[in-house]
Amino acid sequence: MDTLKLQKGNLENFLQKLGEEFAVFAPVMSDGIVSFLELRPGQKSVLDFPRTHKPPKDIFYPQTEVMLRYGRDGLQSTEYKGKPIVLFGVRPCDAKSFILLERVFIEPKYKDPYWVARRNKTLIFSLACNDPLPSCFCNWLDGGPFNKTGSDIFITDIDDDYLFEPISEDGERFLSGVDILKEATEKDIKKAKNAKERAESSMEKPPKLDSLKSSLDTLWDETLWDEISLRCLGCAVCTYSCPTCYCFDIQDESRRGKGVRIRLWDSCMFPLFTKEGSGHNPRPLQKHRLRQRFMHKFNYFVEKQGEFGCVGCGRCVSLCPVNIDIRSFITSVIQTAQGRGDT
Amino acid sequence: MKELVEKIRKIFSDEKLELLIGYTKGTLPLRSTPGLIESADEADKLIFDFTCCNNLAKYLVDEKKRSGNTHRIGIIAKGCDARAVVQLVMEGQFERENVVIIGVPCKGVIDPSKLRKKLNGKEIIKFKVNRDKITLFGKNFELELNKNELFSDSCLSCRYPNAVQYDYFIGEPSEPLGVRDEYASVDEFEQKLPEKRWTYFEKEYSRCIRCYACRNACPMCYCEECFVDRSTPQWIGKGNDLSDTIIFHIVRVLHTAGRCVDCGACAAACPLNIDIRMLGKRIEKEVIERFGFTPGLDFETEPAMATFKENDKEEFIM
Amino acid sequence: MKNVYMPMPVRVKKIWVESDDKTLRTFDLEFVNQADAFDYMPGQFCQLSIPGKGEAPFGIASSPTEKGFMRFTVNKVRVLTTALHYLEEGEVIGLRGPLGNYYPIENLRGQNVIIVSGGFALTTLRSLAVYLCDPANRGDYGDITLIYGARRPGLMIYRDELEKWEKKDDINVYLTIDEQVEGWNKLVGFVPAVTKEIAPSSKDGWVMVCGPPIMIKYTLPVLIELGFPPEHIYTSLERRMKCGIGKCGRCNIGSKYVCFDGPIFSFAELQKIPEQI
Repeated sequence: MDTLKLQKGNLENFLQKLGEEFAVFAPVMSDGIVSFLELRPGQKSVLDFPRTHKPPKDIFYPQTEVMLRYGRDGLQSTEYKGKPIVLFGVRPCDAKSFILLERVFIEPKYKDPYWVARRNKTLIFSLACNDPLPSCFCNWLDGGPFNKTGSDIFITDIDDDYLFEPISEDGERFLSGVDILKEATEKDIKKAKNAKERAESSMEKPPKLDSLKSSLDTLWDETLWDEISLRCLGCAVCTYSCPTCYCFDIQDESRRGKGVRIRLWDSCMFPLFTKEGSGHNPRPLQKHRLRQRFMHKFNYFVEKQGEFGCVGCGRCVSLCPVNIDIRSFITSVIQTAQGRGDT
Repeated sequence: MKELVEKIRKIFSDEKLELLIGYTKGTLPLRSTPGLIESADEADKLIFDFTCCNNLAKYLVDEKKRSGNTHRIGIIAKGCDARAVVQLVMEGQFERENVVIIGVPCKGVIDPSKLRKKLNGKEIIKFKVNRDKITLFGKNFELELNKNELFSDSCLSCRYPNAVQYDYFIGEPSEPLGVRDEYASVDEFEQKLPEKRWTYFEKEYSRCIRCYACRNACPMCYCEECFVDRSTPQWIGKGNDLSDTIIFHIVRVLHTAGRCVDCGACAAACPLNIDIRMLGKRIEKEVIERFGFTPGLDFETEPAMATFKENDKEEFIM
Repeated sequence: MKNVYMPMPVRVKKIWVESDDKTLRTFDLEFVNQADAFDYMPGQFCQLSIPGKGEAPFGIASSPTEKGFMRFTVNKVRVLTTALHYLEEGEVIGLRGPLGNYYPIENLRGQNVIIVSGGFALTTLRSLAVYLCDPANRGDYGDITLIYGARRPGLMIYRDELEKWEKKDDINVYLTIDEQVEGWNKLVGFVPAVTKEIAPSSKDGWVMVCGPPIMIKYTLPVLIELGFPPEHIYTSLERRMKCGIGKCGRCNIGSKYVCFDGPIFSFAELQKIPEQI
């Protein structure tokens, strides 16, 4: 199927139409913060916003989610039973994050029913980044501002129009039924190609990360962990703003014999994350906790899933209250290992 | 900067410091990062300028938890850092003689969350300062602002830009910026109807994701186990339900009453630009009016919440 | 799709106090719906839960060869375990399982098995011992030895059963306490020292060891000294867990999730992991 286009002026019409069938989530500005919210009638999405403050993972994996309800009549599970979902305007890094998260949530032996219930009903429209931010580093991690991994339909902003390119079968099936879209011309395709080249060349050349995983194998006791962890506040800004962090806690909340079992985001940065009932904590220092986060992303995840557990969105870089920059960490790991002649 | 480095190198050896907490250059424009150096040779990494927004007193408590109370530690201190150090000493968190306070004159520091708000999602690659103006340059934009527009609200009405208590002072003392009247925004807010005020707080705190950056950036939040983390008994829910979130913020403000030095580190740390300062500022005003106490000014006055005077107002006790 | 977080209802069939300080209780549970019953292997664990009190993992102490019940021994620590201790026979709670891997039964065929345990960590090792000694299985294995220690006699779990085993000739049982008390006529001394004294042969020998971290730490060098290769020494690890199925991310040791890749690991595997066990 060919690439189609939508006049920018028709976007709201298009989204409104979508809203009749789907719960449409798009970047929305609310109190100065841009995040993926369900579009209400007449509400505007801000597609030109470079990177949402919050990653879109909460669409499939809300920060606080009821798993089970219990009362006199026993237990009921509470998987999503609502409308099908459209996730509109997700940036390529975030679209790729879903693929990584699925390696955990839809792993063959145990499928997470809450993730599956939403994800299986969702169509993802990702949106190319014409202007990657200075803190973006998707191109370090097999991604890029025009990377199509994880999208059903890939959108490119070409001044007056949006191009819609079907990527998955679901995307193709969907696009074939939308009459507001017109066929893109060769000139349009050329514009998109130029935008891609411009965006990609605007990013700094990435360092080679081939040795990152194996370097980390040898750096367990290095002082570099001290240097970073002494500055670290131990808050969860990095983990909660990360599109690929997925750790959670499970808690019961009850009142008068009725209640819920909920799951909530948790963070390996918190001491309580691993503190055991006996009081023993296998990761008592911030150094251990910070090492866990970096090792998880760049070593353990690679070992288990075959790729890095980071998409290079840059949120933790820009939001860390003490400017701990994961990019500097990556380069210093490689340098330290090289300096010791390990690689 | 050269003067700073030279003097610190000397202080490091004269005072036989084992650790010095200061600032080093950050990886992003207009950002610095706390720098913990263990030898005088590393002093040339240190900087001090208007990007040094973190409150370093927090690291004194961390360091004590990590390696006991025996280290001799130096700390670069703006007015607010120094006040936090004093307050922590008064609260018995560490011994006065183990800390060497090196005062530096502060002319206001940039609040990263204000910068993010101004940039509306964009990021800068460099900046230029010309007296009171600052020009921000992005990949394809340019934005000229008054520096004041980026400074922390705490700085705009700060009365103590220089360390009040110190062992050394490097540079010429600064004048307060005096851009805002200290309690004007609180007074104005108080004029609003209760439901308007509630709506405001609801709007602000509903953005909270319980990342605890505010708590962890705060030098006064050093509890071994914060009440929000307790599980036996569990005080409040751990999710981001608004009622739980608001309880967290209210209790934090109450627990820092008479102790908060209004450094603005909590607001600057918040990734979602929540107005964390309003409640705290109102409580601060209350403490001043009731007890005439401003935390962190000297090593003699008993902290307001640790003392009782016969003329303390007690009209809230039936 | 079956919800992997949904507990199955189980009824408390029997409950009794296990230790003289009353901090340990043992439960025999039976499925409310027979259709929920599952097969399991020694070393696996289940998540037990009470609505409103939470959920936590417990090793299965019964053997798959014992039909009609599943046994768990619970140490009273916090909210959930306290609530479990207050249960009465007939009450219904939730159970998810079986979770995790199991002792390397396949490798043990024709081999001598040495079980080393301390305190209330005997649970899944009891499962293993009962399984190996089951008349249908016993012929498949060589000598079976159990070395078990506790601080004092009253803290030994499954004591009546251990005394019966002492009289059997298909399992060698060595019981030890930390310090001599009146009336105790068995071994005295810490598990590592006692193991060294007994000196089980490493020839065709496999060791399954589980106990407090300090016991494991000091027993391991003894076993290595006795000539057991790290590939023949297995232990069951514990970590704070929530989901039990490798998703919630907190129980990892290096790249391994204790709940999903474990809880049973060989020391050869653990030696490759820098994070402390």
